[in-house]
Amino acid sequence: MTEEELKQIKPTVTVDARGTYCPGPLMELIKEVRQQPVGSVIELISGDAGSAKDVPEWINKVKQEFLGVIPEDGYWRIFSKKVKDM
Amino acid sequence: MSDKLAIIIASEEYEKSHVASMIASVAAVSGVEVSIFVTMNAVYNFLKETVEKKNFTGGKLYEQIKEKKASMFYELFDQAKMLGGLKIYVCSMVMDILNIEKEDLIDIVDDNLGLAAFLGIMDGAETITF
Repeated sequence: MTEEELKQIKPTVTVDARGTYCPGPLMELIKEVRQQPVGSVIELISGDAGSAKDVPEWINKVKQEFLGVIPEDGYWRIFSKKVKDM
Repeated sequence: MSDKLAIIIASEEYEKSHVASMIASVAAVSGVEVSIFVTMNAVYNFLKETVEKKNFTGGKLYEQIKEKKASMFYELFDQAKMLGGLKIYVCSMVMDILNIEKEDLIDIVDDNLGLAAFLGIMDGAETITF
């Protein structure tokens, strides 16, 4: 998705993981992916530069859907969609 | 990466336990079956007494982890156990030598184990040593 498209998305839930260090943001996302129903869009806010690369890697590995990243000033908004149970 | 990962932690250096817990966490939540074998001086890091007093042997990064209040390795292991398949075993030979019991170890430890049993777990697993 383009950044413009991502900005239009209304996430089902937003997880603010700023202030945690790697792998904290990823673990916070995983908790949310487990809890939310299939079809949910989860926005992860991370201040950890590695997350923008780590999250798509993990999402692909567990076969969920990665939507994209919006880089902000000093943090990243990372969008994923739960497409199957896990 | 294979679907089994075995991590041996032998050093008491705090940073080694920390990186082991980071790798184990991400692997465990990615569907990898993770087994940790804690042996030699690393056993001190898994003693209740060491954890309560934060009496770890660490270097410059350990000081920063404390200062920045980042999660400690035992917290990362605990979280990983809740979210994925992760088992932590402590070397029974070291427990014998130090004369410690399971209740002297922090709660995230699943069991004590001998080498033959851990070699069985390592069979077919990717193995990392710290």
